[in-house]
Amino acid sequence: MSSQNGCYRLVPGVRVRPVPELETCVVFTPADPRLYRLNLNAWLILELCQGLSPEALAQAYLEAVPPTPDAEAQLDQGLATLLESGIVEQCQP
Amino acid sequence: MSSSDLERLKGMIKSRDSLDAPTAVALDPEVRTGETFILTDPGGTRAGEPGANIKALVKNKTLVGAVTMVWGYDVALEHGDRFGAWLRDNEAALAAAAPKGVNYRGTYAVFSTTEKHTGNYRTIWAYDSLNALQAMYAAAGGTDEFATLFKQLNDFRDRSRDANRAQEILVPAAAAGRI
Repeated sequence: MSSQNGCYRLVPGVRVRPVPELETCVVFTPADPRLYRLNLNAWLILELCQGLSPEALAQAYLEAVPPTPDAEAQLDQGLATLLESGIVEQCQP
Repeated sequence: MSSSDLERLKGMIKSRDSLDAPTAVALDPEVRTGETFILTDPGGTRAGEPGANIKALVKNKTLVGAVTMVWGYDVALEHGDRFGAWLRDNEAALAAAAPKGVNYRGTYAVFSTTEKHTGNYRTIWAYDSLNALQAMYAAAGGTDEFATLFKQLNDFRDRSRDANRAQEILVPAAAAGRI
């Protein structure tokens, strides 16, 4: 479900606290006050949501993860999860 | 995150043969301190001192103390025997050396518990008042016998990252200020 029309970015105000020693990061979404713990894969996707075009984001992701058949599907799944959680939002490139 | 942090993140991933599917798990924060009860003078009418009813119940040993503190902690397995020997030799002296209003109520091995991470030992302190609790911390920083024994007791605590620990401060429910 990678956006074909827009890019992804961190929702303004959302706070991200990396915990590299535990290979995770903790995210706070103030608009809907919740804490989330992202695993390594979701953390990577979040960090790549910096306004890249969908193609550039997918390319950067696929270059970073082990080459597995389900990598693209995992990217879509991760983006959907981050969108649903209010951690990232879609934007215009 | 800076670009160097992103590179480090990528490095953590590159060292793996596979990657778990992305997840964002909502955390349920657990706040246990000051959530329900205000720490006040236990039934007190004067700052730091318990009310007469609480004093009477403490005196006749119905209550453990006007304020009770329970430490939970682990002692490393290899120090268990030495810890037991230290207690046999020093518990009475620790109790006797405690400041006025501070009552050492013993150290216990946890025979059974439903809690998983509160440690294998408990040490119980009972205080005649909130002032006495403060007095203990002041005395613990001194150089007298109490301070020495207090430190020796605490030196047995397992301070490692994975060690279990807990602390509870209890006040008589009859005098608790609920919020």
